[in-house]
Amino acid sequence: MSNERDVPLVIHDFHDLLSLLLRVRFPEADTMPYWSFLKLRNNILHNCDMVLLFLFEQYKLLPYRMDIHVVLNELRHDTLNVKKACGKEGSSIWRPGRRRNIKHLKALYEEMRLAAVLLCQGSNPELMDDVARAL
Amino acid sequence: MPRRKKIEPGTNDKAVAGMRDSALEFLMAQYRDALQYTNELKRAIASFSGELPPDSRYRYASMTVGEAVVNFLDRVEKPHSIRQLISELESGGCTFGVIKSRDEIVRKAVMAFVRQNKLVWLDKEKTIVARPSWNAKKI
Repeated sequence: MSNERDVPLVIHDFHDLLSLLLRVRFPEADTMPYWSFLKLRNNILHNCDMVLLFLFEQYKLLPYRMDIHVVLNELRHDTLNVKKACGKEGSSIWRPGRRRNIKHLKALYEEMRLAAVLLCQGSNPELMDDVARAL
Repeated sequence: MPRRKKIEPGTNDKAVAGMRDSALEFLMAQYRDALQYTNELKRAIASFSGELPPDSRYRYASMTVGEAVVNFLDRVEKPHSIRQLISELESGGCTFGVIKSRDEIVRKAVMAFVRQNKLVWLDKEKTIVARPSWNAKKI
């Protein structure tokens, strides 16, 4: 019997990616309560995983365009940086009233968003704003 | 006062649903036609080899931002600031969205190409861009 979870998720193009992304909105302040941060972090990690899956397909589809490759590498670099920044946890995260500083993560996520917009500009310029909004 | 005709329950809902369906169908048809037309245009453009002349208003329309910057710098063989690059790309029909600023997009593209040693920053403030292959004399 085949299970739906056995089928690997393949993201062919920006249309597929857009349908899978979760909206991430950082607060204006540089810190936020830990509980809210954990919710936000789930969405960020989900988006990072989707972007990495998408990149995996793009490397196979566009092996001959050097200019696109530069942007693919940049997006991969930025996405891995965001994942790394999300993963750092202190041992006392459950202390009541604890707030998480998100300034660094916000900047890294913005870099990832920009790299995604740049990649979209090369292949699907009509979706640039949609990608910026969806991420 | 004239009596109002009794409307059967559900009749109005059906009319609204019908209008909604026909409007959506019309929009979908337009969208599909636009997609088909875009793809046809892309295929037709790809069938031409070579680039547009340097004074064309659409010389960067089908290029990525980084590629357009490299292309421009190779042509003029002179370092340029980010501002100058933005105005050059704008005049060449490069596509920018409306959510992210032009400065952010161009700076990011240049940074990606700098990381791959295809471009270099000439100053500490990271405002002037050049090609790494240029020797000191040219700069």
